[in-house]
Amino acid sequence: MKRLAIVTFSRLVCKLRSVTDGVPDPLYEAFGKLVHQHRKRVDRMTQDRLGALVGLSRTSITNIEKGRQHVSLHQLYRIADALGVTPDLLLPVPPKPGTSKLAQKLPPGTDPEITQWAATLKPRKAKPETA
Amino acid sequence: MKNARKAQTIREFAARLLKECGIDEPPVPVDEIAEHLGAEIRYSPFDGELAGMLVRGDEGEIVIGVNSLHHINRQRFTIAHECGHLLLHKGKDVHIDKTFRVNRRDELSSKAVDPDEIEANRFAAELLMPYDMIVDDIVDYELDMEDDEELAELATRYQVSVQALTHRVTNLFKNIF
Repeated sequence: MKRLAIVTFSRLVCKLRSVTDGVPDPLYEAFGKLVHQHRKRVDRMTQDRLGALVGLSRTSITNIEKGRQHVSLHQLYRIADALGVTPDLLLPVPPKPGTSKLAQKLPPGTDPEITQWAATLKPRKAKPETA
Repeated sequence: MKNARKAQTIREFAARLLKECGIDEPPVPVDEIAEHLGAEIRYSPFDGELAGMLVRGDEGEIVIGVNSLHHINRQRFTIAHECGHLLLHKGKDVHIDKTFRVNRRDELSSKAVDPDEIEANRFAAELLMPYDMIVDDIVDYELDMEDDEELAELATRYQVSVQALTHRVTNLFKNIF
């Protein structure tokens, strides 16, 4: 019984670590930045309000936006829904220059950031909610 | 450099398109109009002044790219602006559009801009705030330009920014009186 409790406790610690490990990770930082940018786009969408909509505290939203807290898949969907975008728009896209036909159409001398942006364009299936 | 075509000419383009799509009340479903013109709308976040772009592909495919970080009303204006390029400017395969100067009232600043851009902006205004609809509403509302709440209400009805609406109504008044 005692051993079971210890095992359960150590599992819980592991789980907590994986959720909030505090170590900055470029992937989660990039994700957090996208959440922050899409949140700022919506009228009156504070960290408080987003937290309330997705069932997290304001502090959690701060941590997610800073990349310190790692979100679960269901949270990604809830955050996207609250911000009126499809989940894929919150996912950081690794740079793949020259792979998009669309990006290849851009005239030479186009700002590389714009070329990269053109390579990551995606259709939006769900209609955004008007907040 | 050629001059931008007149507002009246651009208005006729927009009115014809609205009629083709059977649209007679606001808000104008701009994404349906883009699809009607054969364009696919795609989104991606861009942290900067980029609003959107229009690309005509080699196999006839047409893509309108929109900055998903912009306010929804701004995204609607961007799509309408790109539809303008699509309809009015056949010769150029790629249009990349940074921030539009829709809120500048003075003609001087818009003269510095490419005539294609002026036309696309005029077209976007005519498409999102069609002449017949907006004139009816100005009369019905007995619109007072000093009343911020009234302007905001009308902007919501058309799903455009208050700046875009104010600019549109100011231009209409200038031409009527």
